[in-house]
Amino acid sequence: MNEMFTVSREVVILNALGLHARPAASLVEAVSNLNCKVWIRKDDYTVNAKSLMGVLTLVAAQGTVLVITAEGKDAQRAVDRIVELVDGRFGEE
Amino acid sequence: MDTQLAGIPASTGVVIGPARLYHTQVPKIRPRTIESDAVDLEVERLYKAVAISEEQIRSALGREDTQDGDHTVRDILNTHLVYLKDPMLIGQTEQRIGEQRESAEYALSQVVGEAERIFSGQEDPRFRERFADIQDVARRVLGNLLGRMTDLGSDLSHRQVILIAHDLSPSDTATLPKDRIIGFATEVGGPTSHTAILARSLRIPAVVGVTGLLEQVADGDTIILDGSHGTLVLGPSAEIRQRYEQTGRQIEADENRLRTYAFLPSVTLDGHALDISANIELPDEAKDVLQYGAGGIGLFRTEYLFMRARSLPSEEEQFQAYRRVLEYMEGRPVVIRTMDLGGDKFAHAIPVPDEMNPFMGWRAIRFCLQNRGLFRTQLRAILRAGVFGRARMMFPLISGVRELQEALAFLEEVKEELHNEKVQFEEHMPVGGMIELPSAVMVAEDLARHLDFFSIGSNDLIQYSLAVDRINEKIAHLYQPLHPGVLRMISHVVRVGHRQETPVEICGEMAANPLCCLVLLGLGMERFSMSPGAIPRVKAIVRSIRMEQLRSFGERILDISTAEEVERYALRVARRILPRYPWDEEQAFPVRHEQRSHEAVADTDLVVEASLRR
Repeated sequence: MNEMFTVSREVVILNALGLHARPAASLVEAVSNLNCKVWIRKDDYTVNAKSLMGVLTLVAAQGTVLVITAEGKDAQRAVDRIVELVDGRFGEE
Repeated sequence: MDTQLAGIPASTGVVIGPARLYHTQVPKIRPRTIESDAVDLEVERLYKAVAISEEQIRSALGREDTQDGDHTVRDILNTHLVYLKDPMLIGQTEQRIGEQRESAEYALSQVVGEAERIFSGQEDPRFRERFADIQDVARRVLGNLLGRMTDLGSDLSHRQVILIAHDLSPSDTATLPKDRIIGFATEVGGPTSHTAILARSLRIPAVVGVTGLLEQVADGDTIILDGSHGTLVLGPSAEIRQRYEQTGRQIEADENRLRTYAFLPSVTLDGHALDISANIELPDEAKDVLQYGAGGIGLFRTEYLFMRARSLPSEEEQFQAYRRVLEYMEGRPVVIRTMDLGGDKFAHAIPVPDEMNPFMGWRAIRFCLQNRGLFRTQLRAILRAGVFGRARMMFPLISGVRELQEALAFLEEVKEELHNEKVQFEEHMPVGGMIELPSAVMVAEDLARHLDFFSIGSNDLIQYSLAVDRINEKIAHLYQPLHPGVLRMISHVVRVGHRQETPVEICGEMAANPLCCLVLLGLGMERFSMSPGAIPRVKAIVRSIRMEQLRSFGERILDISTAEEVERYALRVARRILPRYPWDEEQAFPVRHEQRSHEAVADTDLVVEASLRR
């Protein structure tokens, strides 16, 4: 098996307010120190998940489907952290 | 030649001084390519500018004046630090330098331009606003690349100036040396924009929404800024200048004279005591309210706590804010209105989709009932603060009994929670409702059974009952506070209040207009809440009249069928009761200003100001 491995997951934004400023910031913070590359794709637009500017430009409202792809040593951890945040509605009701 | 520019009045007062332009937009950078062997040096230049920017931000974070209570400034500056490390903003700039051999300035401006295209295509205004942070950061880095001053603080001479900008964001104003600014004028924005709110809280005159401002004003130009009427005069002649200087002095002298009324009780000549309270937007305004002679706070618009902050204010932060207001007021009543967000008031931390009809949309109590988490936090904070003074709670935009019952049931739930947690709170806090929808007027009798008091929000009641958006200048003349339809609704609510022993207050701008105020007194209104600055004048009027003079007045006014006739009749009565007051200049419909030519505005308004102060 290759040392570099890729993990991919599809998530649906659940919180009512979508991926606005605060959730975007917490997402970026969750993965920025991990040893891997992380991308988020919406339709055919892909951004670097460690870029706040990038994540905000996704403009992901409630119900948006996103594909998370991570590559590198911490790939699994990065995907897990994002899934946990999204499924936990970023701590919103 | 005097040139007049018209905008939106945002903070009252007249000032004259030199203009200081503050460019908040990213400067245009000429395309420039570099040699391939200069790439490394160019990348180094970029990171040096980033490092200087970081240092500037960290030093601003360390300064005392950024340690303010609501964390707004700190939140913004911290976000800027994140952007300085952003792989897209800085990383792509670096990539462009290497691959396209663009200069650092040009590469960065291209990356920002790209982002601007993405953000400006978004429907949700909050996402569009996010771009402001990126712009701020890019402006700072570009300034450092070009070796220009980017901090307004270090850029200003020691002169006092009138600050001219396209728009000012909280991050701009965070670093402003506020003691050197005597006025604000911006190209965009409305009465609730950040600049307007800031100017009011600093008591600095401001005009916002001045189209073409930056093209017409140059650094150092002498300008007159009239924040009361929303006008700017560029290159004033000696004569105009003198007139405004005189007006400014008169306003000041008169405010001082009127202030003597502030400390006298609001009682008519025949002994009727009336309640005159203040409307406030920010907790610290409560400090000054007493100097204007307010008997209490009739409307604390809590949404501004949410609008100022980047992140949602926590229960503790809100609790501290409410408690502070209650303590300033030393046992006088304070009506805390739960957040009235939506319409034209938005919070950074709460994105709301664009609506076709925001005033009829997802706002105020409707928004709260669907965002129980936010609502719970606010109710808890208000209930807890209640033990530190005489707090009342009020719900905005109630449309009927069902909605009210839902809000009240939720309030009970929250009280139960606090009770179970053994947290100290005011269990018997009176609860009132805003009467600002025609439906609420019609079911006032039923609402009264569930509420301790009513507050008529005249701005919205007029807007909703006449279906007039007063920002639309084509129909602004139809926004008539003295429309018989409006007056009969107000009268109905007052009568229901008397019958059901439910106190009725009025808290719109109408209450502060002397002519409207007399009409309201005629209709039996006894409780008024208005912007603090308007209180002394209304008190002066109240203390000069007899209620018995208004007894038949109110009855007869309800039989009149047009707003114009009501105004004529009211003016006739007003002149008889208060012959020395300059009624000829008084208008019931201040929006008519906009219909007159600018020239005429300046003339009549100077006369008004002058005669008022006699």
